[in-house]
Amino acid sequence: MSSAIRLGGVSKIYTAGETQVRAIENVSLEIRGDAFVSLIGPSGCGKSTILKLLAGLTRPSAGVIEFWGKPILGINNQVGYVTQDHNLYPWLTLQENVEFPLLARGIAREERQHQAGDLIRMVGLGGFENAYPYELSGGMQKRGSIIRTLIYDPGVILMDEPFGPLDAQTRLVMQQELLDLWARKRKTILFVTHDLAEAITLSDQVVVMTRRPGQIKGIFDLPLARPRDVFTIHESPEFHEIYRRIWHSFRDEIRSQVGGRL
Amino acid sequence: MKAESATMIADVVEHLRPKGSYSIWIWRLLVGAALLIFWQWAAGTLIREAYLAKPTSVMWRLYELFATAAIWVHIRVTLTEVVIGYLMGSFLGLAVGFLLGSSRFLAVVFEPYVMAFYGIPRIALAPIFIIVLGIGIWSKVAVVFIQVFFMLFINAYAGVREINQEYLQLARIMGAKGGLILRKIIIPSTMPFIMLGLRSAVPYAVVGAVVGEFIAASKGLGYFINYAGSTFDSAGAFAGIFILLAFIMAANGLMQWLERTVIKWRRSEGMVVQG
Repeated sequence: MSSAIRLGGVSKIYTAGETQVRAIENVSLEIRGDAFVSLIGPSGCGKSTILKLLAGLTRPSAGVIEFWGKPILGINNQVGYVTQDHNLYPWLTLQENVEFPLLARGIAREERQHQAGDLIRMVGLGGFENAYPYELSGGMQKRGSIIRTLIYDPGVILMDEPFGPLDAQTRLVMQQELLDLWARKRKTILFVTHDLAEAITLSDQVVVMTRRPGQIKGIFDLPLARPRDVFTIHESPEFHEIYRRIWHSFRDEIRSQVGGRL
Repeated sequence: MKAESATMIADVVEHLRPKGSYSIWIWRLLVGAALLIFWQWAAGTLIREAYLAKPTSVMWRLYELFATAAIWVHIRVTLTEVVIGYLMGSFLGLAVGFLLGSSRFLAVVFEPYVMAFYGIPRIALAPIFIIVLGIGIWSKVAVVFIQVFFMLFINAYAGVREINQEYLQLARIMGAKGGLILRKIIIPSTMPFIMLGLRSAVPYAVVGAVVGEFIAASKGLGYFINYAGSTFDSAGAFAGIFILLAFIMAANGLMQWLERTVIKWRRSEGMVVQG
């Protein structure tokens, strides 16, 4: 597999008036196609900045970013972007929201309805096609925003703490559903989270970042078998072993952050 | 999953329905009746009836005015001024609001002028319009226009500025271009602001026309009320005021219906933004 994403010595400095904030510094990272990679680090370490750079929403201050071997110029509409808030458009029904990317691509009405309907039923939202987002529960909204991304079949999906706002049970259900979807539709997924257990449960690889300015502290390959069951994976000794190993690296970053504040 | 969300919808519906709305209406009517009875009693005892007409004489006068059709010319003139000024003002207000809202450059250039104009009580411009446009309907149309224009301009401008930037970014990532983004995201997202502006502009429009007619006119409800006042015809003045009130309430009801029809996707009446 070729690299889906390659970052070489990427830095990003945000300027706000007189002050400059170094969000990430000299980040080099290579992600192969079809991999599920989690990015984990203390809050404010620039995890989201990396996603924004890959989506073309902002430009790097230094370094190169390649997407399937090509530089990113402007908005990258070959990625899917799932944000922390569901960001379904409140004035469109679920069906219209899911169809939106196809509408933007000029696909005919019947084909749009057909594809959106299939995906909506696949994630168990059949019967809610004409509901507005405010009429859906948090988990349903999240499913909606994930299938809105899947419908245009982007090779890479960027997920920015997508399950953050959900309650603990819904979160587990959504993790399992995401794994099942990923198994069926093999995509490259770059998943940002601050929850180590979530990162290990889902990923092939966990990338740990330092506190700001974010740098890469370690990359851990996870030898856990697939398919995985999010409800029982925590019980296996391998899970604990990996958790302990990554936590060792991760906790120093959180601890020094605490120290910095005191 | 389905059951969970069905109960959630039911909860929301239950919450929206005002509790005991029936008894609230009875209380409202009682308050209104009490005020009318007090008024009926006070006119003639606390205040001389020549200064303050009794509600019954106001009703009688209203009946007369409609029966002899004498009032129609005034209603027609005021309505014409309000409708023309309102349509022009809202159309241009929206257009300029969208333009300045979406261009940082234009917004920065025009900001001091807009703020200066916004600071003037617009109604104070009425005498100038009358000097320039004469005492016919067009000077009043201009007063209505300036009132409505600012209301819609401020609301459209705020609406465009308030758009959730993530909505726009995601639309671009999903492959949407300018026209589609305008139609499917910018316009619907500013719609609550626009509807609010349209609704709050109605009384301002009526005030504009009436004040214009107070200053100089030969027809219109403002002229009618002013004339009644200057001839100590208290019943006539109140009759004119009641007609204005009925007009504003009808227009407001129409606007609320329009708002509910256009914006079906919101949970509550929520937003409060004033121009």
